[in-house]
Amino acid sequence: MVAAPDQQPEAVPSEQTEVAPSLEAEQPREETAQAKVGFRIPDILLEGDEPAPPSATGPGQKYALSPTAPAGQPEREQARLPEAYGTGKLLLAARDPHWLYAHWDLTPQQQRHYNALSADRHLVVRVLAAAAWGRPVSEVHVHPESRHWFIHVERAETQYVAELGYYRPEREWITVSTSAPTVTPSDTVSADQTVRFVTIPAHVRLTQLAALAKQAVPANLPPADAVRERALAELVAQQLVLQDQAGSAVVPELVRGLGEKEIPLMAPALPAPPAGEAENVSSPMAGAEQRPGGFWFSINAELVLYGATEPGASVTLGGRPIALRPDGTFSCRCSLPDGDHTVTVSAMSAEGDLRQATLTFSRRTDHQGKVGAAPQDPALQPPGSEIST
Amino acid sequence: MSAYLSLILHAHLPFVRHPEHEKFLEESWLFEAITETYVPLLQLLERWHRDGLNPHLTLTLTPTLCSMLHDPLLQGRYERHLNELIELAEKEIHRTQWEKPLHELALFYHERFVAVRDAYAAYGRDLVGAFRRFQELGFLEIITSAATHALLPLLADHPPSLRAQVLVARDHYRSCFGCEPRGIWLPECAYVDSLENVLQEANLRWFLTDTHGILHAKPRPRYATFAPIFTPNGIAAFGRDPDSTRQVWSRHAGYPGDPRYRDFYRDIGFDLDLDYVKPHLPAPDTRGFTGLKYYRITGSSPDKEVYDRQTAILAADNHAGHFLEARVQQFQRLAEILDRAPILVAPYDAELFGHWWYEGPEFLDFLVRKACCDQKVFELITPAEFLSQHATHQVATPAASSWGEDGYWRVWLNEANEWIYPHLRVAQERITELARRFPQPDAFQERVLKQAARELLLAQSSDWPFILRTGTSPGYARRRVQDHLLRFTRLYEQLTTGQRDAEWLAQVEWRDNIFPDVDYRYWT
Repeated sequence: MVAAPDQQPEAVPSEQTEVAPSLEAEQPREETAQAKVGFRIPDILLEGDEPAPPSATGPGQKYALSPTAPAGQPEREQARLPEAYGTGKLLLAARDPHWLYAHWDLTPQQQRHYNALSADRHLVVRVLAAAAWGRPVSEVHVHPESRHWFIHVERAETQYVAELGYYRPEREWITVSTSAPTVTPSDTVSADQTVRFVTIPAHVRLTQLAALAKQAVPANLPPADAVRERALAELVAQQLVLQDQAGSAVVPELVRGLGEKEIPLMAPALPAPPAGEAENVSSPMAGAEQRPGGFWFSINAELVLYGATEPGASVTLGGRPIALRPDGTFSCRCSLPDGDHTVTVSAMSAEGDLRQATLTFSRRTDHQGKVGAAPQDPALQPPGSEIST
Repeated sequence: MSAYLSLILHAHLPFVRHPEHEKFLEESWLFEAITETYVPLLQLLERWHRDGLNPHLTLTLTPTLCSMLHDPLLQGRYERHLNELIELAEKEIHRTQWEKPLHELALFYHERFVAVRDAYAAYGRDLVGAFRRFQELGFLEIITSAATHALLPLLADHPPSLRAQVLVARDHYRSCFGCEPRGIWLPECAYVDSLENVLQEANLRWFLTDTHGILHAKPRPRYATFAPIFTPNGIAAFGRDPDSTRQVWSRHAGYPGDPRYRDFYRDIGFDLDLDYVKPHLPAPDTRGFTGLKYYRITGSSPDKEVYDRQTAILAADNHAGHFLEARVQQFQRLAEILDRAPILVAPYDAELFGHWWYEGPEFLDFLVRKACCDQKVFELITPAEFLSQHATHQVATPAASSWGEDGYWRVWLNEANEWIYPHLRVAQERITELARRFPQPDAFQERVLKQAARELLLAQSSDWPFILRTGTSPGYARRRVQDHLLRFTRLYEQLTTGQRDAEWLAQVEWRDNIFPDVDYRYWT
């Protein structure tokens, strides 16, 4: 008949007058008394120790059941969760840009065993950061009975790994468990100011985009951002050409991105581009530049190298291997900035027979009047440097 | 150039349903929200519809909330609760007959409660269906959330759990609304990029982050939060506009703290003789909120003055006018800077409007009417409508973030609640083990697998660590986590040891009956 057995409070922080998290986000953090005298206890050490607040007033609070925190009652006896499962696993989770949470699943017996082996008589958590995996960035000597720790780290947006272990008498480190990596969130505005736009019509399913993206990204190549974005942009255009026979306000923008030759006769059947934002952005395949009002002109060039050889041969371009298609054909796109460019393409058969070709290109651009550079896929590199197949 | 304002209300409650008790205190969270927020919101939609005003409102109805609103047991209990409330208001009309200000308030409450009862009956108890009708009329975009409102970034080390939270929610949305959800409210606006694969799989086209989720995006967002960005997976991410939310949301600097508004905490359930209010309390023998509150905020001291309804309505009118004017000025400033139509996204917990801030629905009413009739600077719009009109956006990856205290996961991972996660981790790995081990279960095994999925989902709810942190009902939150994990373990053992307990299984199915069609294969 009653709910009372479920209403007992715990020795947990009682913050009755604190507001919902979304409200709290608006509030400046109050300085502690320690901060005012120049010494600040980390917030994390105070968690759970805040004094009970007075009776509440004002608008309501999420899940409030009374104006004051519920009074203490002993918890009803019942089955309890196990203290530990004994898997030995180390859980590491970034809580915010500067705090990691570590938990190790050891039974008391396992913990006593490791404590006894340790020269310090307790376990140690070492934290390692990406780019310096060999040397721990911090080392926490934990209480012999602890099974978790919140660990301060310096760097936001950094991958961390933790190791649980102990030191033998000669300071020899023994690892008990290693965590999976975790990444601290960013806490600042990105220095990367690249601006690229993409057009994604609301009626194209994301799963269809994803399927095409997988085709567009070469096998075994990690889906680097630039590759993925370019693929996404290209496949949106493909989707529209293939499926969007009804037309869309964004199609002309995409048509420009693909080039007139590839999509003949589509543009006249489509509605005119809107006078608003679609005019203000570049092709979804490239970085955007704001176009000035009135008449304008921009131009650019890129280079496509292509060829074929025996399917079992290996081909390098500027010393870098490039992938052959199953039929032995290959192609690659390069940017073509002004200047002279020389690139050497080599093919070596499975038997070791070498063939080589050296190609030289020269580009010079002269402007008459105001002419801009048409946007270009930022992933492309000049011939002889990075290639894009 | 146009400008847009998108109002988003997030309606959510954890799944609280206790058939094993006749009355249960925490079930009052649902009952109070129905009376003070959900039905008043439907009444607003009815009036806007009648008057030809389209609010283009976005509303999350989380799977747990929809499940409770659909549940016959809770529907019956709500009607009982409302009848008891109306009886209490009748008693109050008599008790206060010589105290005119209180008497008028008692009459006011009685009238409102009766109107809510009439509306609830007119909707056939089906509030989900009532909201669905407004979506079909184009007045509302209803979005989904994670199945049990789990804080998804803290599940990111177990991708099957992310997948299950999103796909179970998607399936539930289909069953409630007969269509696909276009947007998702990431619980607590908590985002990490590893979420994107499953959002893409579910064809969810947009979500919302807190302001810094967009501002810290990579590359730097060209238009700050005044335009969405497309993530590399093609999903649009909108950012919370700090200006428009602060005015409403801030407890002290915001509108809800105005001394003219009704005080939430002064309730006759605490003020009057226990025997008098006892039959109307949410749990017997425990003082609690009844919903009859006679005082206004007045100030920060405990001395409160009697609530004056007309003055409070006037305050809501003034605040709506102030909010509107601030947005107009904001857009006029933006027009000088931006080369595209800006959108301001203003998200709030739905329960703010009516439940925590009693005059919130009136504020919304004034705001929508003024926005539709008194200005031409901006239009109201939903994010999905915006995306269908504006499909070209910058590509960037939002930053990991939440709208909680400090902007990350501190509220849900601290010394008060960290103990939850190691247990969840073990249970998560176990359900994946089960889902892979029983690809073709017999009928009993399938029941066990589905119930194990329900218990794990319920244990993952972000509400439990939140309550443990805020201390509003920590004993209950702790018990809920423990109970679901213990039930999960027992189910796991039934499958791994082969010892079947059909009677106990039936009892657990009866208690935790959410997601009857849950697909445990999502955890493989």
